[in-house]
Amino acid sequence: MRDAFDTINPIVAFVFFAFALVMPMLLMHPALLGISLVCALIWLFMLRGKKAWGYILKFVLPIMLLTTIINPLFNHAGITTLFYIRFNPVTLESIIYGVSSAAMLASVVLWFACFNQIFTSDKIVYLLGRFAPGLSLVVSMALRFVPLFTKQAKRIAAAQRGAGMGVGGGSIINRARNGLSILSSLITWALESSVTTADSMRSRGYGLHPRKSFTSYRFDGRDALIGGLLALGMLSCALASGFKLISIRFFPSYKTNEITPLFIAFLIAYALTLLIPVIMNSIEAYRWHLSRSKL
Amino acid sequence: MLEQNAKNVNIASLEAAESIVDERILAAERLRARQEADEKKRRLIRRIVSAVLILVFVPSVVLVGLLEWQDRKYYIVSILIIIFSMAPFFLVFEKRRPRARELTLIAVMVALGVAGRAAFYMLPQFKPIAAIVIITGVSLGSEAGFITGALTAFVSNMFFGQGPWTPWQMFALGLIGFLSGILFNDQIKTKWNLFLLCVFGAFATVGIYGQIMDTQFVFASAQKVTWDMFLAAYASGLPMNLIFAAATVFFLLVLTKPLLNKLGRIKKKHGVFE
Repeated sequence: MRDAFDTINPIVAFVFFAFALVMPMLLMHPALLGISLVCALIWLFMLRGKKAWGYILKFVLPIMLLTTIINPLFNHAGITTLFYIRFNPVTLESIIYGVSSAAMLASVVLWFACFNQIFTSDKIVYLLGRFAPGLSLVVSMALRFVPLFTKQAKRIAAAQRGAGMGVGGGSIINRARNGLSILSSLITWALESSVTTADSMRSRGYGLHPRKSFTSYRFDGRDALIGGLLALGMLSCALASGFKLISIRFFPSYKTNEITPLFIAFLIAYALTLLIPVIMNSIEAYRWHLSRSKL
Repeated sequence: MLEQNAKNVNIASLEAAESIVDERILAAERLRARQEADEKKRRLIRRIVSAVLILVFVPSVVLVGLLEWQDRKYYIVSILIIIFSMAPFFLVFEKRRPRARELTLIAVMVALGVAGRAAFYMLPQFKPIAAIVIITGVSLGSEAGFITGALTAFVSNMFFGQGPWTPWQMFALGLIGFLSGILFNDQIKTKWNLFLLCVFGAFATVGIYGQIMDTQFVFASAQKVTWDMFLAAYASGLPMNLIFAAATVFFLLVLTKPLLNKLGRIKKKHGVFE
């Protein structure tokens, strides 16, 4: 099923991801990190199902392990010394910092995993096209060229095989030479056809009008609603850190802010903001369920 | 007499017409010369601007980051610096409204780099990306080299997955393309020149790409950056970087001559990037 967040305006989606990525980097508070990790994990499992496990085992766990181990080994700041490794103190603070930065990196990588699912190439080209039309054109053309070149390489290979110069036969050196000649004619063809493409673009009026993109996204009421909620979430984060509701210090001694009712309220607001895609998906699923039970 | 007159008039008008045509040709030539001079001037300015940006702007941003933001938020500060230092290149490129032929040529080189990374997917780190970026910089100039390098990293990550490493890879590959455009012109004829290019390729992959990517890891995980941390990161990254360097030298040896020939032919035939 298509993810509900996939259909909203790319600009709003981009702001959401920027928010989700930057907050843990700026404030490595255990509560924020925990919320960010949990929200990213829930959504990732919604997006990729069981395949998320592979991603977690392959990328997230090694990064976390490495960061957790490296910090206490190299960083000897902090006042609570636990034990010594070869005359170097290992402190409680640097262990806590290692675990926190591991959680921060893990949440960044997990949010990027979701980003890769939502931001397909047409959305990236759409977003880039507004700020950098030339670059976005290069990106979209390169994306098109990759499968085109693969196809053309196969065609050239078939023609060479027909002429008795296939990659399949002869000694290794011969095969390599034939492979290189396929590559050579592919490159010549690609360069020459790129100029033809450019001429055809020019004669159709490239550069006369601002660029438009293949998919067009209207900014509708739902986008405005989600954008407003996002703005509220960001505002609450800015206020909370501005009024020192949330603060953290790792060195020389570990110290976090006191837990007040306002702090809890802020955490709930933060969690709800990050859960926007998950909530959207749940509402869609509930609607689907309702309309099915009506039948 | 009348005939003679008519002939004279004819000759006179012909001469007048010829002189008009001559004048027009002269004017057109003068205009073209002026345009070429303008273009040369603009190119010089652009080169100076990009050199100043990369040699002055980037280090100063790093210094400000180190001195002003002593908040120990190395990770976000370093990512911001990387993005800031890439921005001028993209801005200069967009501002001058590049021609369609330049765009398609750069797109072809980007696609070749991406396809090359995909083709050698089985061998870890053995990829022709850096070699193709270097050859592009050598043949099409430093600006095209930077754009090709940065966009190759960006587009190939659209296939292999974007992450916090994307800006770093973009910057590292872009820098390699930029430097190769500054250090070499496309007259790589002798074996000695090719040798120098290969030395640069090895240095660029280990010293620039590898170093930047390992630095990224230190900034990502460390609270307080120390020299032994950098040393440890570089030492652990060295084997992978050496494989990448070997791949780059290999592909430079194989690809430099044919690719430079083909690109040179396109440049001459169609008058792009001259």
